[in-house]
Amino acid sequence: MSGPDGRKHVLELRNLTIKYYTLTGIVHAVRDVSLVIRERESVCLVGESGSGKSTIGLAVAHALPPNARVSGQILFRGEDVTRLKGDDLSKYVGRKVSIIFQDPAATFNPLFTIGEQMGDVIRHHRGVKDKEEVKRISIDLLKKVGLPDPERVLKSYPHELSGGMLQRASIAVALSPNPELLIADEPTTMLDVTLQAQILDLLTKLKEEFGLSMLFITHNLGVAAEVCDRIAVLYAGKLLEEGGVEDVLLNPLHPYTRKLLECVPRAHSKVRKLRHIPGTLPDPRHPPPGCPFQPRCEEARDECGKMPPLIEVRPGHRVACVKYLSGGGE
Amino acid sequence: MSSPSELRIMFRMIRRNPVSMLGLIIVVTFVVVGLIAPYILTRPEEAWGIAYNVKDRFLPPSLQHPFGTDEYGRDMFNRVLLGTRFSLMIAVGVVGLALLIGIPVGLVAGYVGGKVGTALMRITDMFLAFPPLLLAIALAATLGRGLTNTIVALAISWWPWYARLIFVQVNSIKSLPYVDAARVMGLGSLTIMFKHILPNALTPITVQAALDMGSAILEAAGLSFLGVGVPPPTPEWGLLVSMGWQSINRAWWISFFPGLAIVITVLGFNLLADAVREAMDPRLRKALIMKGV
Amino acid sequence: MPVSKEYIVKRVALLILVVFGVLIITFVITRLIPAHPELLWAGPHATMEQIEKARKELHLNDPIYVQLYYYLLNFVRGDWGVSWRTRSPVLHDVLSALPATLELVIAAFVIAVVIGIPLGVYAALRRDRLADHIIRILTVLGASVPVFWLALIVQLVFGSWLHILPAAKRVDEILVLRTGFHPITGFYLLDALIEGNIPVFLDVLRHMILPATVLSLYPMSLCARMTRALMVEVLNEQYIRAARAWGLPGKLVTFKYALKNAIAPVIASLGLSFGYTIIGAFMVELIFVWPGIGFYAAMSLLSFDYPAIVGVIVIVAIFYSVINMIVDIVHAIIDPRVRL
Repeated sequence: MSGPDGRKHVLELRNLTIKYYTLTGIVHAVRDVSLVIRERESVCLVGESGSGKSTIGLAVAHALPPNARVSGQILFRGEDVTRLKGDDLSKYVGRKVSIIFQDPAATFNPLFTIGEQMGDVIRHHRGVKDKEEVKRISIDLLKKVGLPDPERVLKSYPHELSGGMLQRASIAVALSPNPELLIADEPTTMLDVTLQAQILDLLTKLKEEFGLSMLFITHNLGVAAEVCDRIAVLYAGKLLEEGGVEDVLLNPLHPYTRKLLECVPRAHSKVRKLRHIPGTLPDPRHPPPGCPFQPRCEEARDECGKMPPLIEVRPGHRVACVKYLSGGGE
Repeated sequence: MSSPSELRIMFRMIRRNPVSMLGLIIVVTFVVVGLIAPYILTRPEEAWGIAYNVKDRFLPPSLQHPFGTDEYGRDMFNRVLLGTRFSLMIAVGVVGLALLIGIPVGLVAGYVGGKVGTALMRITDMFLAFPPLLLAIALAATLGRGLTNTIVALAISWWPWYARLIFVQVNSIKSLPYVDAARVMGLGSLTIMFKHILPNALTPITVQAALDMGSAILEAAGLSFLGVGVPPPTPEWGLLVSMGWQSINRAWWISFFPGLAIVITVLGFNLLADAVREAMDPRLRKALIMKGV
Repeated sequence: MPVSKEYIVKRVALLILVVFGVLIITFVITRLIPAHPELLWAGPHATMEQIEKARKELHLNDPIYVQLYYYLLNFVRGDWGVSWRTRSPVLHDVLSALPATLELVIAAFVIAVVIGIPLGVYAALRRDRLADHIIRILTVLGASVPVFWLALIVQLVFGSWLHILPAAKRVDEILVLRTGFHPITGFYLLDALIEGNIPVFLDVLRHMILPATVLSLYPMSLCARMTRALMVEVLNEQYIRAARAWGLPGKLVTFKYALKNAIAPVIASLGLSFGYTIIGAFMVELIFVWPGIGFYAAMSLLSFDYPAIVGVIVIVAIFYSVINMIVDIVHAIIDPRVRL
């Protein structure tokens, strides 16, 4: 499948629904989400904690915990990878799709050196057997992610390296099999602001260099603005708005998106009180029918009791809100 | 105490798992039988070891004697039944006494900290340098045989575990914000210790202790078997096994059934302990799959 | 992954301190608690002279710190008293009995680990399925069985009833005489191999099977249970999920990564179970008439041979501490975060 500009679809989510079975009930993490990512495109999944954004990322990477149940479809280049097994699975996981996690220190096994872990991945995906060759590739990758002393990093254990270095290293590992899609699950949340900027720059650069598509997950609109081409806004498991990053951030259509933007403190205005959206997320175990944002929305109406579908209000800009149901934009 | 929802989750977990239910049943049965044993004996004098029945020696298990008779003609079923009472007494005594010594030591060491705390913990460590039963054997050999001596010997070798557990708990609770808040509000040290820190530190310890009773029974049986625990004619299970040893070739049942009683009782405690441990582990709780929602 | 010299030196120093503490505690127990230690020391059949002699030897007329000084001095010098049962010095008795026990305990641990760890891994991989439940019940059962009872039953069934395996002693004395077996180290299996004496080697092995297996039940159950619990925990850790998400094959992730992460605490818990196993050895040796420390201890307990009892307590405590130190060092070798 390809989009209007001829770029092929790399990833397509169709009616993706993901539930977690826990002792306290079934958690409806993701509800009926449909989304497309094209070649060399980076899409941001934005939302509060509990919106389901991480779950989607994990699902695509086949990294969900065992108590998760997936329904709907995940299509990679047109092929259904939702329920892959065996050989097909091993050709997909980690090779066509790769993932970097939020906590770089928890991503690496504390008992093995970075070099050993990276070496295992390279050996497995690139079929390289020779030790020297593996080392050469590793050093090369570590240089590309901006690590100054690759030899030392390879010999180090995770607890000997800083968070920033570990995150760079995990990016190197994720990119070593030359994947087509990179999933980044809040990769900068645990880093301080300067490191954040560096990592984001690095990711943008690597995206160009490797020709990657990216699924970038974050709760920070500023980060999304820097890194992404398109942005998708999630709330309580539902996709509320989706479009080009400038479109959505400069002309937000959904009341929730508007509220989110209002909450971001601007550098130039005099902020007397930090703004927030009153109310809390609905209980994921008992999601309400209809629009999940209804209880906190200032523009809520009776029709919000029934969840509206995503409507393309402007070219490339979709929103799921009853305000736009009668057709036409604002 | 844990919030109601935590307890509810724990019970729900135990109920779903038939194996842990079995543990619960066994433990409850054990406690009940232990309490009423002296009153339900059919042959009390034989059970207490006072009477002998020379014509009924070494009878194999039968309807009149479900566990057979021993070398003095005493009915083994009665003896094992009464033995339940002693096992219960030992279990409660050992764990209770060990808690009584260990909790204050650990509490003080943890809360006061500094040199006193370190010194107390060093002493505790010295005790912990001994393998579990060894100290008890040394004490039992020094003090002599007897029910009280056995309980004391075991308790003295056990208290360091609880002291250390409480110490660790108190240490971690001590640095929690709400303790600082209490101090800032002007509450005295003792109040803080008893009203705020202790209840929270106690919860995991008391659960652990209740389930440790199974191990106490096992260790006491071992001491009695070696001859430094409870003396005859008290029908303590370990002692019964050792007394059946001489005649094991002609009357296997004398040693077999008391040992079986130990196995079942301790099994019950261990099964329950497993279930409770899983229920209290927050990470395991999250990762559990519920079958048949 | 070598450990730093400083760490080993630190651990050895700690060991010496621990041994010191052990001696002090045994001093308190054996000298301060009893009202008349000289009676205990001289034995139940002592004459008045012997009791007086014991009094002088224990320096009971002197203040406590003098007693403690001589107590420690004697232990370090190797004078651990004389067993009035065997009439030989306790240290000599204890040291000559030690290898037999070590052989048995090592055999038991080998069995425990070889069966326990794979069982635990298997149960963790088949989590919450039938195999897992069965294994878990078996391990709990294994930890609930009193060693002495099991030993009696096994001896009865396999030795007396079925006559499959020898049920007592360590080796057939007649075979020893016939083949001219002379133990050097005290580790019969080793000695037999050194001498090339295969019949004795096999015979000792046959004698060892029953007691070692009985003794191995508890550590095996503990090992399987800990391995399972740790594997389950480790398999849920993010770094394992990350390894899977990077596409590494399941077997590699399980056996190279997860197992190593789980092994370190398992080894630590093995050290703990060593304590229980040593006590278990007391009873197993007593029942199977295996001439080791446990047998010596049990005999001493039965005949109230106090000096011997104290000697055994001290040697076992020292040994336990040594094992714990070794376990800590191994732990540090496996887990680089521990070497501080």
